[in-house]
Amino acid sequence: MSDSNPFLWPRPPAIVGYGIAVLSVAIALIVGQWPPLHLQTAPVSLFLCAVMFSAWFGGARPGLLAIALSVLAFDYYFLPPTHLLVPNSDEIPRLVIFALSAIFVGSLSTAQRRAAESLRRSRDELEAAGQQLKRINEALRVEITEHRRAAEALDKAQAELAHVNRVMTMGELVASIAHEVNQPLGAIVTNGQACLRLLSREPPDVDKSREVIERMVGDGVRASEVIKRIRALLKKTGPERAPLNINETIREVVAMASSDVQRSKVTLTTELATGLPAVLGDRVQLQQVILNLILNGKDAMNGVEGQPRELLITSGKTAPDDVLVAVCDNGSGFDPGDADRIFDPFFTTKSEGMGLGLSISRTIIEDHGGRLWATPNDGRGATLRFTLPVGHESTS
Amino acid sequence: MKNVEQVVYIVDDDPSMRDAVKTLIETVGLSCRAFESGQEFLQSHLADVPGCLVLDVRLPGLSGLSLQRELAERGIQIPIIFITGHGDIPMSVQAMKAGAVEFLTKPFRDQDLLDAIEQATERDRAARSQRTEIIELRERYETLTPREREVMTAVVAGLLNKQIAAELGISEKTVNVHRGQIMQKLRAESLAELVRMSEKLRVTPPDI
Repeated sequence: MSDSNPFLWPRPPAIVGYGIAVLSVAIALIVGQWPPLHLQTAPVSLFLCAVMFSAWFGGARPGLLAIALSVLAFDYYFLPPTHLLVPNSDEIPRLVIFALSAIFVGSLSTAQRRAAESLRRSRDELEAAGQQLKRINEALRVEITEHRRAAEALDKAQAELAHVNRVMTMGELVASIAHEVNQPLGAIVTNGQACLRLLSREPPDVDKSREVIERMVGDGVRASEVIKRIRALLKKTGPERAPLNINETIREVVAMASSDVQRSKVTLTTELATGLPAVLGDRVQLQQVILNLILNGKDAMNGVEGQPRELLITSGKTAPDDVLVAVCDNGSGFDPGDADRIFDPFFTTKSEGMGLGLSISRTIIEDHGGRLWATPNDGRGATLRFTLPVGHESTS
Repeated sequence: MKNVEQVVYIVDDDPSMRDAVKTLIETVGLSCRAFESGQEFLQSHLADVPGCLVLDVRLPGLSGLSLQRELAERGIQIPIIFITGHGDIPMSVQAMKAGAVEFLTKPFRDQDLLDAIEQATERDRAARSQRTEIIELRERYETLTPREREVMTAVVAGLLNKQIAAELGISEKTVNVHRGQIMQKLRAESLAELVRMSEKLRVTPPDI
């Protein structure tokens, strides 16, 4: 690390490297010739130091320069005859050895320096890679959190959609009935009005009137066919009869309705009997019925203030072959005399609503071979119960 | 006994309703053309007589409101009476804002529809005569010389002959001659009428 190796500062520009080489050799020369140190006979280590220093700080070329200068200075100032560049022939081996050791020390120092530098580079790169890894990790964590949040939102949206689907099917059905029947009715009314005008002419236009009345008859037939078709649709949808666990169906609907119910400050509790046999039925249709009963109960408690709004759903077995489901509220209840009328189409106590929910629910339950009925509670509210015959297979 | 001076157009995809409305309109002696879609109506040639359109809101393909928009974009100015199976308030507000004459919910009273048709046709007739009047007036204005137009601009701005003469660098007598020419060419009886005409001229005649 750079802080543990103070000698590893950045490489200086070339000119400074060469300057260091010249300067260090000059210092070695001066120190070597300084009399009090008595180094005149053995200046080699000084020059080797200068070479090592230059090669370390300046690199290979300043190292070479230092070697050349050292060899020259050694030859000129220390090898007899001094102050001459040509040495005695018996001193040549010493010069050569000096030169060789200078080259050796210089290249060693350069290599060392390179090794230290490449080590540092690797370490820096590693550190950068570590940093990047940390950043990626962080980003990944954020992404995972977001992904989880999105998945939760998706779940919620799906649950809401499922809810809307169940609620909408009835609403849509009603809207479509209204439109389909209103078209021929509108035509009948308009034709009738036109006919009255034709007949009040002087003389009355009987031929044209007959033609218009024939069209009115056709439109009347068409309107009743629409109704017939819808009735058939209500009866026949649900050829799907699969064995199902009624408790599971109840739990699914409770999950769907929970946000609605909570918003109305209603506490919904379930007491579901264990070990019930399976019933044969259409899951979606039975979900519609249960949802309808829950929402009705919830609406019936809209006016309840000053005491908890409680909705209790129970399941159990009655006769040997019947599963019973009861939805009990402590809301406004109904007049005991109305116990059957509340299942009539368009009977409603609510300011909004078509009064079709219970009527359709009863059709569905009866279509399943069961019964749906209502009883007022002893205290407040009402309980709606339905039975379904047991299928052949049993569920846990 | 059909009155071909005006036409009622009907666009409704439901054949019973379409025939019923057509019969009703014809019993009061109005001429009537029925179409089963907005596209069919757009492709047809409309007679150049006052009229109105009885339009079902709920149509397959081009909806009633879209047809209303499309007609406005094409510069076809025909008053519209909407009829709908379900009186949807936001929808009716939108239709009325876009210039519909009436918004009727099926089943409607025959008299309500006939009243709306009369009112709409009257509105179309007035708009047409105004457009014709402006076109004629514009033709007359075209016959004025550049100098006469300058004088007219000054006159309706309320300048006196003396002031106009000074401004245009001509004699008062010449101004008087120009004024006479202008009144004659535009067939204006009085200064007040001339001012009214200049206001109408400022209105660009709508494309038909």
